[in-house]
Amino acid sequence: MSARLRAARYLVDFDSGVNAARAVGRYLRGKDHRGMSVGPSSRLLADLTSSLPTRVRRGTFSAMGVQQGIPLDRARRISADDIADWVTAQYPGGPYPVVMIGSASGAAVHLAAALRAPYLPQTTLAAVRELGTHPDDPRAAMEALAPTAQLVAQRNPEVAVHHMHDPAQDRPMLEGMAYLRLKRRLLGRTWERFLEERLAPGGTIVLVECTRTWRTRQVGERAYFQFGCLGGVSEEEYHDSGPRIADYLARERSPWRRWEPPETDARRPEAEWGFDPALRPDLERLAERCGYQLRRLVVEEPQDLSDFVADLHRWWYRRRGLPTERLLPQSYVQWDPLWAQRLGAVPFWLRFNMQPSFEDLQRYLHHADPYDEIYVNLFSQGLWSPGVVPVHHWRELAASAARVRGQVIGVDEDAYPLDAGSTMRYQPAFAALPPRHPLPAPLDVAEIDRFLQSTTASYRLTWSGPASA
Amino acid sequence: MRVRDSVVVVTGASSGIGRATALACASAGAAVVLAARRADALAEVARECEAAGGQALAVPTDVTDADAVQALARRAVERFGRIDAWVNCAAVTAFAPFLEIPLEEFRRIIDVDVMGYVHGARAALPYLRDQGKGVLINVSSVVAVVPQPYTHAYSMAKAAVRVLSASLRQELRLDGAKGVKVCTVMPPTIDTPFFDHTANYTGRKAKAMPPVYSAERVARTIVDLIRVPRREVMVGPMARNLLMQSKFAPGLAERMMGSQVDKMHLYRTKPAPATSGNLFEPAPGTGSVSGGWHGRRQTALRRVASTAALLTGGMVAARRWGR
Repeated sequence: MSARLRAARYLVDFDSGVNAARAVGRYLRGKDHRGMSVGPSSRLLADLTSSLPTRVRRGTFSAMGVQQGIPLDRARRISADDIADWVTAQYPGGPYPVVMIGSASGAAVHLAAALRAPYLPQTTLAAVRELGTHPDDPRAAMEALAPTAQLVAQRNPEVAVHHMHDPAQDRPMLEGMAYLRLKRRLLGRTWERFLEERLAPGGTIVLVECTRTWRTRQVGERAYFQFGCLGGVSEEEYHDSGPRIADYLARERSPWRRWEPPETDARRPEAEWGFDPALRPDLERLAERCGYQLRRLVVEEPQDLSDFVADLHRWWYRRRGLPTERLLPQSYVQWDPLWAQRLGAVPFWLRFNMQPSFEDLQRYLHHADPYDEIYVNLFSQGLWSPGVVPVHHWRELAASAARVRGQVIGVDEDAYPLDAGSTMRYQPAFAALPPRHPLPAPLDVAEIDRFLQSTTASYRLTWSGPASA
Repeated sequence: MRVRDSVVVVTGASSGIGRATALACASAGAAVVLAARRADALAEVARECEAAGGQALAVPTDVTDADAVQALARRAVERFGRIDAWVNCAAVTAFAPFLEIPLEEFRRIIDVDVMGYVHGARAALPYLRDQGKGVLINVSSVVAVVPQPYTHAYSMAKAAVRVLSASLRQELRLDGAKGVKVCTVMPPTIDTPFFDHTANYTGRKAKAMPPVYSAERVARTIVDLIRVPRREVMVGPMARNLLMQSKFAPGLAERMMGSQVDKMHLYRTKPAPATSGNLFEPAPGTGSVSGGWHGRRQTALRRVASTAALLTGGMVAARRWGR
């Protein structure tokens, strides 16, 4: 099996980093991100899947977890270099005026597509099968997986391994697999060569840095355990769970009524979205050596980029003569930059279907100029996690904020959030929205500067000025 | 040698093969001297042995302590007047990549699995030689013939035990102690709690690699060896097959063992924390013979399947021959 195929096998298809690379890669090839770029896209199949009994649908999510994970004996084959090669293989030849690199984010995916820039995610998710511990026993999970996390870290000195364990949002998956997020700390030969060969002379590297941290526990050299993640449960609630978690655990028929995570020893970059600054010096050196500009886009929370990217798209569309009155909020990895641009829809990325994302959209709609149409698409994670916002709330928000039409699309409302057909349904739902427009000419990095100079809105981000050799 | 009324010392008698051997000997009417680290487990085994019809003496002993093993032999002779058979059975192991196992744990395995046997042999042989007869039985393993990955120290130790037995046999013969026999038993995977107590640094839970045989089967072999000593005995057809394979296709046998251990001796879906297991502290509880790997049931199923295959083959051949 080739290194790329091997990497594709142990990378998880629903991971944000993996989907960022796949979506942008396919966009640059003129293709959409249907079925997360790996599965079929069919309303009929989606409806068939979500019409199954609830228990079967729940089982489908768990089975997907088992299927996505590789057997533990193959963990030793996980290679950060193969992953780097797999990422670069997503992109056609180039040369590119811009390359984006750093924290995964759906908003950054849309920005990369607008810039026609390959996106190199710092963090990717590899999974191993795990049927030995209970999802609500984080200590046992940490101890049991520590040797595997250490093994992967030891064999791949260019990455840190974050074992992420979240029984609130990822419960069905945790029933069959363990999450090992590999965060690149060194640029490595493969990405260095990619930047040298495929970034145009004088080109720009946009470094996306999300400074979000989480309390973690070190389990080995460059190997960490993180309990919980960004979503509908706060960091404090994960570590000191109360009545809401007790209710949730009772509903899930867990033998536990509270979580007892291991003691933590430091705050470190959040496993999925956080940026590990150890990568920056390599990029600064490379930029200086090759005469590239290095621009930093720094945010505190992953979703802080969403309103900025949405307004930037609106500004960009307006300058290109496209309509600007249609908003397309897309959640988690059900993003599709091709369809957003083709529909002349302003993309607004929702990190997940949880209350904080709902509130961010609410806040954005409150401040932004009103939209005529708002179409919300929601990811389904297979259970009613604490903090999941019911579909009718999303629908009501869209309907109340839109001047003409606001609705939820591509979601089986009866099945949500156990809508097992969700990933097959979002692309046909986007494609069904007339009218379509030709893709706008690419955005230029300098236009981001112009947009920020021209706007009166303030965004929770730092966009560093040009610095080049 | 008659097993009834003989005196048998068994090390590692608190669980697994050692415990099954003690019970088998007691059932056959022998007086058994039980040695292991866990006093409470030994007390229970002693009760079981007495209930089975034998006499029993429990002597908590760490086989890595040469003086303690000498004391064990003395206690046996003081209580029962002689030693007819000494069964070296105490063993520990670790599953770990070679570079991952702490060196002191590697040494500990060698200490228990090799030096423990050396201490046993040095304690037993003076009595056996003085008596002019007796049997020293060293429980080795098929891994002495075809070693495994991840259990380097254990495989080395079991090979060393096999060599120790051979050396002692030659030396005793040269010395004219013809009545003193040294036997090596080489079992394959046995259904014992061994795999639950093992040290482990692989990140994967250990399990009994099929085919699994019952500890009672090894115990029967050991009782037979006390009756009629033999040089080396493989337990079960799988062990014999492995021996043949290692003679005729050693490279293939090695490769097969390697991949089989990787796929079937360690779970592919159950991770395990790093642990030194029972290397330095005995496992809690009062021990047991079986580890819950269904050795008896598996053996019965294999026998039924083999018999069915033989009968079917026989019938087909008979029909063809009849035409």
